[in-house]
Parts: sequence; structure tokens; C-alpha cells
Amino acid sequence: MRGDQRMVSEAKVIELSDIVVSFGQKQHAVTAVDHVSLSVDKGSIYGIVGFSGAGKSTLVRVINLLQRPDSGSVVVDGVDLLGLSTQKLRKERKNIGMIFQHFNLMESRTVFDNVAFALKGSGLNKQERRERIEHLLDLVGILDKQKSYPDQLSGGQKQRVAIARALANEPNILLCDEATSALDPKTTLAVLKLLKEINQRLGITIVLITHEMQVVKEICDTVAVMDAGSIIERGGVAEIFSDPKHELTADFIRTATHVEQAEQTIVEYAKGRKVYELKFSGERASEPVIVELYKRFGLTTNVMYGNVEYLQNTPLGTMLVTFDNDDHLDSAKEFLNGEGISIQQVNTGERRA
Amino acid sequence: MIEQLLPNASQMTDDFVQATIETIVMVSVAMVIAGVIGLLLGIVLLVTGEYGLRPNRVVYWTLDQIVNIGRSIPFIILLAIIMPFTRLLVGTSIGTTAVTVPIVVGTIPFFARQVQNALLEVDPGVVEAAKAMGTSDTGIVFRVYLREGLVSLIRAASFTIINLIGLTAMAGVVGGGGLGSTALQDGYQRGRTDVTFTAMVLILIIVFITQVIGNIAVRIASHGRS
Repeated sequence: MRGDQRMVSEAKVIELSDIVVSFGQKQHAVTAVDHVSLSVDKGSIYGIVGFSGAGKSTLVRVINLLQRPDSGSVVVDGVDLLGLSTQKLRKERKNIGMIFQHFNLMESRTVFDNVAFALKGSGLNKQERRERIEHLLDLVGILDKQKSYPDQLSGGQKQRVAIARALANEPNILLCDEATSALDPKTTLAVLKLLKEINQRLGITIVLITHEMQVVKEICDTVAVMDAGSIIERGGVAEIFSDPKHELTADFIRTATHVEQAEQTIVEYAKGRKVYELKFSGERASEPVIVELYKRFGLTTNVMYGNVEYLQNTPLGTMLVTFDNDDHLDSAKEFLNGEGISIQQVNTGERRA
Repeated sequence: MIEQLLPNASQMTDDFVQATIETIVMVSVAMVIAGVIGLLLGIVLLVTGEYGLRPNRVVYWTLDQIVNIGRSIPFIILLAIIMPFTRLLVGTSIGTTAVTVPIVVGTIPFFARQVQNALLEVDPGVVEAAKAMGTSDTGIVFRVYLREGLVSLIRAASFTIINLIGLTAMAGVVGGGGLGSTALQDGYQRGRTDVTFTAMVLILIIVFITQVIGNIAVRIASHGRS
């Protein structure tokens, strides 16, 4: 097995260029993926987030050509997949593991045999096969269930089996299509932790599709936001979370960071005072901004809510505050922006009593 | 007691044994032949269908029409229409062997459709997963569809066999032999109600046994899952 710690190199392991996928007949054609280009660094965890119907599932299926694009090019591990014969493509697919929202295990086979299915034609003898399968089941923490059938397992356990199956042929890439969407929050975290481990221990590049920004926040290095067949924003997770350019991205982030819920309660509680949201990232998070505001502008800041999260080891803070007066607010805003802190008014301050 | 209740039938034990064997032979032979051909056709329908592994409109449309037409022809008419073909194939148009031909022809489209529907029940997600693992189309048919669809296939097969038993009984009209002939020719046409009744009971027993075997097979194939 691939046990060595791989260096994260700059090489691109997946390169999609100008992909177009449309469904249906000419007049009624729906463009699911509209001229999308995407490149994924080797060893990274790349998240693609979007609402259902945004085209993300179609896009991820282009990577292993389960979905053939109408145009564009697909290069995986340096191989142009669109130029391959059926047989060669099948061989390349063994290098790209995939897991699904509904696990897609074979109900008629045991856990062991589900993983063994992937190893047909691998050239391993029976003993080697058994060792590999047991090793994989051990890796995903489900070795004791090897003789069970899928319908005897919980959702989280099924996804673990699916992960073992996807890793059977020692792929360099793992595609996850809404892999945690059918799981409860606790199980989701456990499966994400396992994926992160696999990424770090085996050096496998992961491309992950989700509609939950929470999932991206948890494990991704890079994120692309998809809407109506296009990628509207992409970048490092910390960067996107601290400074989303697009409204949809900001929406996704708000649901993921729980600021939204806090906001409602606080605006209610602020009783007509203006509430501002301060956001800061990186080293700024630890600087004594509030003290500076008082010293420079005589502004007393009431912190109503504060939260710091660490995304890929970058602290990302959110504060909801009110000020005791508005006198120097404009210069205060300027100062904050200069410090890399964004400030935004949340309510009008003229709420009905 | 039995002689009073079944005055004629009780004198015909040998005939009933003979007829029962004929029925079982007809059903078995027809099921083996129609089973193989129907399974193949069902798989071709599945594979060439719109969402199949290798969609092919021409092949699918043609087969689909043949199956529809085949299933629409009432068996009793098929029996008559197919006679020249039967004579060509087996040299005679009466008797057990001869009647097996229309039974097979009548069963193939029926079973093909059953197979197609049974295999369509297989979760498309599992098929997609197999594709993603680099499994060949042949591999997907044999190792995914036939395996995952086994329980549905067994149900389809027992349903088809029971339907087949009905066809063999109808074949009695043209002197096909078996319990159908006994019921019609030795019973009904001679006004011996007890003979007709006994033949019917024997047919019901065969149907019942088929069902029991089918259910056991389903249980084994599903590892006690359903």
C-alpha cells in the first residue's frame, strides 16, 4: 500500500478545460456545465459547492467520463481521457475512485465481496486480495463487519465500505459526490475525518461535491462555487471564507458559520441600535482592534457575538458589535478596512420597537 | 369413497400419471428453451434501451415491437397460426412435442419483458459505481445486473412458469397432451366432470409446488433479506 507521506507538489492532477455538457434535444437542450475549466493540485482536497441543479454532479462525472462532455478536454494524471479507447479508459478509471451520496453498494454481496468486486482483474492472487481487502476495511474502521450485508449496516458504515471499495485499486484520485449528504451531522464529521486521513496518509487527491459549506470548511483546501453551470468564484478556503466576492458565496458561508442564526437573535436584542458585522482573518484576528477603536476614535464597542474559526490553520473571526455613538464612524470604518477588517451594517437601526 | 366421488377419474390413474408427466415435461422443456432465449432478449432490451449500457434505437425499437406483438397475440390463435412452422421444425403438428413449439414461441416475449423489467429494478447507482470502477459492459451485465437482479429474476421465472402451465393446458385443445388434454378431451367433452376436476386439482398442485420452490429460491438468493 501507499504508506509514504507524499510531498504536496504543485503539479495539477486533474485539468478540465472549457467543459460544456448539455442534456436534451436541440431546442430543449439544458446546459448543465457551461464552459468550465478547473485544475486540481496534486494532494489537495478540492471542494465544489453549489445548490442542486448547479451542475456540480455533472462536472465531477466528467472527471472519470461517466459523463462525456460535448466539448472541452479532460486530462487526469497527464492522460487525455477523451482520446482513450474504451478499454484504456476503463483502466484509467481504476486510478479514480468514486463514492456516492447513496453509497451504491451491492446488496447481494457481503462487505468483503463488495470490496473484492473492485479487484476483479487486478492480477492479485487470492491471498493478496484477501490481505488488501482486510487492510482497506481496517483502514476505514469496519473490518469486523466484513461478513455483513450492506442492509445490516448504518449509513456511515456503508459509506466506509464504499470508501474501501473506491480505494481498492490504489487510485491517485478520489471523487466524492455528495458523500455525506445522506448522513447525520455526527457521522458526517466522522466520514470527513476519515477522508482527511486518507488524503494525508495516502496522498490521494480528493474532489468533493457538496451543497453544504460546512463540509468545505471542515476539510477542503480549495473551493469552487458553482451556479447555473458556471464556476462563479474559486480560491483557497480561508481566502473565500474571509472575503467572498459573490453574494451566493457569502450566503453559503453564512449558513456554514452559524452567523446567520446569531444575527437574528442579536438584532432582536439590540433594540434599535445599529449592529455591525466585523470580519477578520489571518493575524488580524488576534489584534486588539476594539482597544484601537476606543483610543483613536473614542468609540466604545459592545461585542454582542464573537466567533473565531480556523480554516486550514488560518483564523477567521466574525464579530457582531454595536457602538455607543456614530460620530467618528466613517473614519473608524476607514481604519478598519486599512487593517484588513471588513465592516458591514447588519440592520437599519430603526427597527420597530 | 374415492370411487363414488370420482367414478371415472379413479379408473384412470395411469392416464393421470402419464398426463402429469407430459405436462411437467412440456413446461420444463419450454422453460429451458424460452428461458435461455427470453433471458438473452431481455438483456439485449436492457442494454440497448435509452438508459442502457449501449443504447441503440434501431435494435431496441425492433425487439420492443416484436415482444409487444408476440405478447399481444392470443395463445389460442398463435397455436393455429404457427402450425406450418411447427410441422417444419418438428415434423408434426399434433402431440406433446408439436405443442411445445407454440408454447416456447408464446413464452419468449413474455419472459423477455419480465427479464427486462426485473433488471431495470437494479439500482442505477450501483451500475454507475461499477462503471466508475472500470468494469466492462459484459462485467456489468453478469456481475451487477444478473447478480443484483437475481431475486427479481427468480420471481419473474416462477411467474413465467405458472403462466406456462396455463399455456400447456390450453394446448390440450389441439391434442397437445398433458393435463389440459385430459381435462378437455377425457373430461369435458365426455361429460365426465370428475375427470376435469381431478385434472384441475393436479394442475393447481403443480402451480403450488412451483410457487413454493420459487419462494425458497428467493429466500436463498436474498440471504433472508426479503
